[in-house]
Amino acid sequence: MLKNYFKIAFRNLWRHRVFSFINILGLTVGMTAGFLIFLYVRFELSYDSFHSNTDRIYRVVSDIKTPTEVIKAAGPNGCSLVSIKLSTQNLPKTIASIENKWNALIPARPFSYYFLDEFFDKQFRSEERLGKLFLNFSVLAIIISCLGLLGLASYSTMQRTREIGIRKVLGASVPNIVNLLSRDFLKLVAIAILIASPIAWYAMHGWLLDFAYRIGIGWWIFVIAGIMAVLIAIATVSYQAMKAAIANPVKSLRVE
Amino acid sequence: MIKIEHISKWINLGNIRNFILKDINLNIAEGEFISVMGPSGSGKSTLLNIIGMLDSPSEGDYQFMDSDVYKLKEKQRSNLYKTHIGFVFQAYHLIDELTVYENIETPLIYQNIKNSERKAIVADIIDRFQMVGKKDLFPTQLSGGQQQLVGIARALVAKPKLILADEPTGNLNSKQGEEIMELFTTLNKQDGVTIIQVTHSEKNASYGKRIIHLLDGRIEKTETK
Ligand SMILES: Nc1ncnc2c1ncn2[C@@H]1O[C@H](COP(=O)(O)OP(=O)(O)OP(=O)(O)O)[C@@H](O)[C@H]1O
Ligand SMILES: [Mg+2]
Repeated sequence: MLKNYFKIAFRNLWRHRVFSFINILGLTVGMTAGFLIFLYVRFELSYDSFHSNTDRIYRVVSDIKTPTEVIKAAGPNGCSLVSIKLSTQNLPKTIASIENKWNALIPARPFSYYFLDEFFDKQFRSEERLGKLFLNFSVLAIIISCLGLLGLASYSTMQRTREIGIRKVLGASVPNIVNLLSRDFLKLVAIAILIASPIAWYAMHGWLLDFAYRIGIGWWIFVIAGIMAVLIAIATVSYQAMKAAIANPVKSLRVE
Repeated sequence: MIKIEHISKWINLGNIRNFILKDINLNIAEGEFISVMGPSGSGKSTLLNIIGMLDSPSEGDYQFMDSDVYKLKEKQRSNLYKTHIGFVFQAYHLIDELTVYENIETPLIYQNIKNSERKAIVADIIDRFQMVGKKDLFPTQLSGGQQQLVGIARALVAKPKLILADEPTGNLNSKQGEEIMELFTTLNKQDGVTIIQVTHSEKNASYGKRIIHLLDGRIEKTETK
């Protein structure tokens, strides 16, 4: 029975080669995008917790109170970059005073400064923009591939009305028919997942390499995303399949 | 086995009721062999579809093996149908995606018959219809007559109690047609299979014990031999 299903489903895929190809392509694009969104969202969520013992990490600070001491610690031959934790009260005055001290102590180096929070902000702002763009396009891609799936589902059920009618006459039940039709599409989705997973993995891997600290890409991510894709496909297809299965066989058989 | 009372089927064209079948009453006992005749468009196929539970009338009652068909749930009806009725279509209606072998096998699959058993049954009937060489071909690769034979084999494969055949020999040469009629007669006599066939040929009709003549959706006359 199962072997039968597979054989026939593949014959159908082959019979509508071009259609199958276009749809697998569309599904692959959608699925790749889907995987990437999934990975991206996970990345965002894990932003602060990539380390397993986050809550046990402390920063060691030496107890230096005045700017002069700090800059002295840097020294004329010391490091050129000093990070200072400032009180935000009267910021301009504080900075002006630091500049004075700097110029007095290390006149050879011009004083320039930036705020660390702004720096991080800038660094991750661009990632965020990329992420948003990505999300929008992925949602679009998924919608398009779902529409494609729906289109293919209606087209092929329409094409198979006669076959469905005959099968009903030969004793097929409604679940039998829904099964038969859904299986074909699950096959398309499965192929698309197989193609999309490595692509998504590769793209994500490349992107993550830009980060010093990064999440891993576990195989289970693909399993979950795949299951989601399958569920979407089932929802899209089963409506059409149900409609075809309930129809009066005599009516289906007259359509020729 | 079959009891049909006051069955009518019509379609509404504007305000006019267009009758396809009008007040048909029919009693068919198990083991009968019946031929239905009548001019084209007289409602023969429609009647056969109704008896085969593929179509429903606009009005009337139908009892099949003591159960009221129109009071059954869809599932029970399809079960009743699946286990008792074999249907031969006027237009063959083979599944183009399946080979001859698979076409014949399909009813058995839906009856959940085991694979090994299925193989034996299908092989046997393919042999009986002398189509061993054709079993891996697709319907489009067969002649009209060969397709008709496959359609008949498929209807018989599950050993139904009732065979409904809509012009089963329409595309066969007279020798093949005769063989099919002989086969029907054997099934009818030896296995007690009830047969209802629609035919345009007087000669084939005469294999039946009772001949029902339809005209414009009514039973015009019934001959019994
Ligand atoms: N769904 C339908 N809608 C409209 N008309 C229909 C429908 N079904 C059947 N008819 C009409 O009912 C009449 C009887 O059709 P049916 O197919 O039963 O004829 P038949 O006796 O089998 O003819 P043939 O010998 O050509 O097969 C025809 O005039 C046909 O046009
Ligand atoms: Mg007819």
